[in-house]
Amino acid sequence: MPTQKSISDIAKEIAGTKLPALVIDTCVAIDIVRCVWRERPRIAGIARQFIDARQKGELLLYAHSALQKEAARNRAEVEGEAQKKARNVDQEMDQYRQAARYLGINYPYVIGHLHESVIPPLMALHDQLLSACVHIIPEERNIAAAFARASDNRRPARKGGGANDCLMFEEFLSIANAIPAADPLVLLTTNPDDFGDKSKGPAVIHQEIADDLVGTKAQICLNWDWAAGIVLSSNRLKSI
Amino acid sequence: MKTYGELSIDLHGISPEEFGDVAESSASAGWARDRTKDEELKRTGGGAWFTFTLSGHNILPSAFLFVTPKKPGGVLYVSNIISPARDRLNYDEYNQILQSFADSVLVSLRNQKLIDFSLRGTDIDLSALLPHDVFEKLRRFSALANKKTGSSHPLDQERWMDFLIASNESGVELDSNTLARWLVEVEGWEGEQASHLAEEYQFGRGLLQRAS
Repeated sequence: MPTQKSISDIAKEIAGTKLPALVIDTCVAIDIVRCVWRERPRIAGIARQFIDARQKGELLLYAHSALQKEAARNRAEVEGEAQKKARNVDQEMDQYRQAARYLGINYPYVIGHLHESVIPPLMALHDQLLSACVHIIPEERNIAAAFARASDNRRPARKGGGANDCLMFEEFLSIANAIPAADPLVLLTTNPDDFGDKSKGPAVIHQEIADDLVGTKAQICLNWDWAAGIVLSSNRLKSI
Repeated sequence: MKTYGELSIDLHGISPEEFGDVAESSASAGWARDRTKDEELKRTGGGAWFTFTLSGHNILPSAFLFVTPKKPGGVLYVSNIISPARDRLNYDEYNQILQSFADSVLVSLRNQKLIDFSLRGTDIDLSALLPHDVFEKLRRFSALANKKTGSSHPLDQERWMDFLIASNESGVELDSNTLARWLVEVEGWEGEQASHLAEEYQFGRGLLQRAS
């Protein structure tokens, strides 16, 4: 059972320790498993630094209240997809191996190594990140605010859904409003479709979301490197 | 190409509150009004809200449908539909729920001449959305391009740039998501290539706007 805390206790913790604080969303956890096939292996390095920084008391890590449930729901599907992509690499390499044999040239990559063997450690890293996070206890006022947000179709809600994204944002907003001077306080989401405004650029936060954060120093980051650059020390960044 | 439909309701001499009451009375086929949610939304965000729930439908998932006044004017509209059973409703589900609400709640009110309503916008027709010459340039690019290489072949690149320039000159509002969906769903491009072209489109339009 992961550690859980209320919004007010989390705000007190951030204000008291003055440490960088990072809240993660569900996509972020899944990104670890799919980092190879999405051509972003660096994510695994950043995730390890987040966990290590948390363990060494340099960083506060939080997860929104629905993350555990959403991660469990997506787990098998993402793991299966990662295994399939890894098997495809082995199959493609085998095609090259066969071509090399027909050509009579050397093909140095051994047949015994399976790329699928990278997936269990990635799954373990995904689980470690979730364990390293303090999970926010859901509160009625944030659930109601998220419902209102979704009903009004305000970002991160869009037509047809987004209630869980709204809950995550309302929880982050509650923390930010409780400690407006906290800096850095970062929400990392890799869901630019709902949080960003692509018509204005690939990394522009949607105005409806940015407006709600006015008066606080809280920031939303739409990719891992962006968040890492804010919450990790320069030594940790160099080591990735 | 499918999209989420828009349902708007014209009130004929009745107030929004009266609409809420008569709609509640006429609701059938699994539809009901949730006054508790209305109050909750009023407390949280202000304004008038009429929340209707769909449950026990043999095909459609359970859902909350929200009706609120359009500002300004005496028109109400469905601002959103969400389902506790789905992270996001797909286009068909959303539009079928809109249609079910219209059939099971609104039609009888229209028959009583209390309201009129329109349900539209469930499809995007790019040929109607874009000026003829802009659409033709896009269609020409898509039809002739090597779908494995996107815009990289010099001839494909030329046709792609013609489309970008024509889009900019006519000032069309075409978001990159819609373009990517059209390439995939109508023209049969692979998702990765379509996303790449949509990014190029977004960058190209931004660049051209800045330069002009």
